[in-house]
Amino acid sequence: MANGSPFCGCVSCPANPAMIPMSSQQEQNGTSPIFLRYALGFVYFHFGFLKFFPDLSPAEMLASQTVMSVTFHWLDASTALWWLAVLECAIGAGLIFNLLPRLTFVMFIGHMVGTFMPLFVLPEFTFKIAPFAPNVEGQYIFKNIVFLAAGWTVLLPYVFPRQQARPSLVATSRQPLPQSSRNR
Amino acid sequence: MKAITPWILPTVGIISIVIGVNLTYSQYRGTDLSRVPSLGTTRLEAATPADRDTIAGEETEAGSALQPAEVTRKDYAAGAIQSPGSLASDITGKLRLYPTLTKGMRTPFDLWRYYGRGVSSYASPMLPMRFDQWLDFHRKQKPKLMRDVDEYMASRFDFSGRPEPGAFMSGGKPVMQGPTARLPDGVSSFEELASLSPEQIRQQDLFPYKPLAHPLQSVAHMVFPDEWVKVHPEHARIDVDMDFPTAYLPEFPPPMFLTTHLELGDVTNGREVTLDNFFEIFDGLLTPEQMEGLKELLRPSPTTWFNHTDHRITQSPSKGVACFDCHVNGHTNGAFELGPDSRPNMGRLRVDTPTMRGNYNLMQLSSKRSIRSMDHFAEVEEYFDGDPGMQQAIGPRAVKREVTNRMADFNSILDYPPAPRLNPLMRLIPDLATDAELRGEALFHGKAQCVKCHAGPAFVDDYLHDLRVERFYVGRPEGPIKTFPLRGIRDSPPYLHDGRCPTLADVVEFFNLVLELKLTVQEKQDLVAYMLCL
Repeated sequence: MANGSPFCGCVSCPANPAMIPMSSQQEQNGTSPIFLRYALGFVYFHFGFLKFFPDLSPAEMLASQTVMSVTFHWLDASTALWWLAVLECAIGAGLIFNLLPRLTFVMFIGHMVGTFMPLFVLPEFTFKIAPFAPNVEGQYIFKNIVFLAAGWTVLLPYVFPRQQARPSLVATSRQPLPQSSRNR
Repeated sequence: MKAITPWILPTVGIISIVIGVNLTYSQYRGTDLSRVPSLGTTRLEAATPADRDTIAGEETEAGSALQPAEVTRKDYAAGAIQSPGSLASDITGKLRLYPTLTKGMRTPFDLWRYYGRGVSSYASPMLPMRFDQWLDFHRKQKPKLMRDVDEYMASRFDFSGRPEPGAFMSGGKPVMQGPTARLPDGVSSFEELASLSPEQIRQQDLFPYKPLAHPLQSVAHMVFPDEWVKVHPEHARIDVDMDFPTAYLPEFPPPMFLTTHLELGDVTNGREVTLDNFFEIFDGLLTPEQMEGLKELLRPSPTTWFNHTDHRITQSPSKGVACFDCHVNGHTNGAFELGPDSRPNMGRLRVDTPTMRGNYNLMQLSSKRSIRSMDHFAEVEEYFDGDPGMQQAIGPRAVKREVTNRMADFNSILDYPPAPRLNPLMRLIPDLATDAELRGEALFHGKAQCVKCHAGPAFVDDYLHDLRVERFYVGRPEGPIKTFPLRGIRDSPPYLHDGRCPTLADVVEFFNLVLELKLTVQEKQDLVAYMLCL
């Protein structure tokens, strides 16, 4: 409530800057590149939506086998794939429409951890020779490092706004930081 | 308006993806790239009332004269929808598509719930990884898989039973008591279950005799019993083991009876016939042609997964498998495989090794292929899962016709075990039979209706019958299966083509449900007592 800000400091406060969708002005300031957010969101939504259709997603085998492995075969392949499709579409929609960024961030990080799991639970299907010679599927997974960096860049300002205020972390920002961040 | 504008582009994008993927999927499914088959229902759905008077061939009249018209039955669609033959529309909505897998990956134990087509009819002799990775993969997967297999089998069957008092196989192994199938929660007895209609059992998912799948159907192939593997460690698999306890499998080694030498009883004297000892055992008893046939039945040949290449499931390269490795001593050791009669591999039915005893009496052989002669039976490439392409890559096993004829020559003299309580017309001799056995015989020929399919000297009608067991559970229909001869049946557990009935008591419970016989407890016991005499 200091400096006249409505943000009381608690996480659930409706004025918590982490829960407030970023304005286009903020995006133009460089704290969240809008095209990167759209690109990431559409790829997530598209590839997630494919998984609702049996046999359409090229990642079907690896994705379903991984989910089955980490759930100790509690989920069958089609159920595993369905939940994965729901998760990816939700992350995609969250990114595209800039909805619930903190929740989107949590789902995104959880999903990203999951995408790297085949390297550990199914190494025979992801490497020619581990760990430096991935096969096609392994490369498909390794390239998610770029996704991770992109998602981090897009979503971090919402999740850890205080850290974003550091000039060294927002090298491209030339405009004053949002009022909510400065207040904190 | 200003607030809405940023939402327009993303919304259009999302809608485009949703519509685009939906349209693409309707184009994709049913093509030869897709595992989603074109079902009868799909064809019927495509028919509209306007189509009824149009034959598809006529529609293409305006097209190229060189292009042959593909004629479909769209014009009969309305009738087909009402026809009882339109089974596809009834069940396919309730089945799941086979999961996308590659060789070695775990498969669902309830594969009967699944359907679909394979990527190809043709297999590849390549592994999806290097061989050392293949070994590592199974080293990690097998312990957990076998724990789950044991748990699954324990959830379906109670294998802690005792031997049936006074009942032994022809070599002396005790016959196990049953039924072993576990009743579903809320059902206190098989009689209570039998009082329900097929529809009620299906709706409440109460059927205890659903099919059994191969525990690792993505590889499948022969799984040998533990007793066999102890003696033949070259058949120990890196990926999966037998899922039945030894007590519920046939004896090993089983006795061998020859139609040409009944006076000798078990000609093997309790030994397993091998390439090393067959000459010593049979020289002077068989004709030269039979000797050659027997030698061929004992000679290992490379198979899809037991061979010298990396495409194998043994730690070391394997010489292969001989006919008598499953049909040990011309009988069976309880090894199971998948029937080589269908694709995709996930849709193939698990089949136990049938005995070769009494094959001379059969007019049709194999569970679904309707093989009409023993010469043909000996030629069939089960070794390569019905895929001659794999034989070319892994072989050789191109057995010449004169050799398979001689294999059949030996096969033709394998006899059933003695049944001293039966007269020449295969009826019980009253002085030698107990009351229970006589009551069982009367039931067999009467209320239980067994004799309708199990008649004649081998207790078999030599037909394939479709019991339509899928009336009792949601699953893919298995279709007609060859009737199994009941002569010497006590020697061949587990029962039905896939072993889903571990004991004779389970068989009786199965048919009591499937044929809706309403047998009493006493009647069921009498039938078991009778079948132990055959």
